[in-house]
Amino acid sequence: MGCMDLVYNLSRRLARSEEDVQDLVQETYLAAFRAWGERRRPRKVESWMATICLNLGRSAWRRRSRRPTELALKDIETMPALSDPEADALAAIDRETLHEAMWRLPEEQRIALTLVDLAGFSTAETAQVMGTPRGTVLSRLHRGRRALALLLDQDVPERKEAR
Amino acid sequence: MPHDPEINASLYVSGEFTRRMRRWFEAHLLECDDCWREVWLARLGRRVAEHAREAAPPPLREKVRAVVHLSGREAVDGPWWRRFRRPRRS
Repeated sequence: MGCMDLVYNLSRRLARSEEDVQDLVQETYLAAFRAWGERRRPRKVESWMATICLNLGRSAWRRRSRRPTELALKDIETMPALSDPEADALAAIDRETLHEAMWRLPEEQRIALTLVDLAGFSTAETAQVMGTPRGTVLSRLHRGRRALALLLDQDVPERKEAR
Repeated sequence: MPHDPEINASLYVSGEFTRRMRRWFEAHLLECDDCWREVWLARLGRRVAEHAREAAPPPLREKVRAVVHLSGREAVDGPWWRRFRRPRRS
């Protein structure tokens, strides 16, 4: 994933409207450019950009104090189980439904998921970017994944079946 | 290794176990319903999350490039209005 895609995906999980997303991407690049000009050069650009974006996104969030209401997971509309398992069910979810489902996750779970599963960071890198212990990231990541899995509303297969 | 289905499933699905730990965990999975269930859900959830990946729209790329370019010019030449000021007479 390129740096711009990474910043865009992260911004989409930090800001609600497309306008705010675009502003956040732009602010991130400007802040990075300024820091670069001041000879603050990171060892790994991707995690550096993610940190800048996350900090800007969080402070904008605090400024506006407009946290969305978190709904219980059972409120998320679930997909009907299909005859073919994962692939068909995944194809049936449109991007907007998925985007909304991610927005219903608590912020920290959403960010952990974005950094690890969308941007490809390791959990150690994610912990560094988020400023939390790795164990916390692992736990948030798992809860977020589990919540998204419930979107597909599929039964966990028996162990013997899957072997 | 502590038995924590949540953390273990998270590490396993993220591919962050060492080879030795992975072998141990895969053997354990065949016996433990809790870990099996958590791994199954985590794997599915990861696939769903990956499905949400999007490319930044091309107009946004252009916009950011232009803004950064302008900002770079200001850093070198000063703000735009200074560039249009009449030179002082000596």
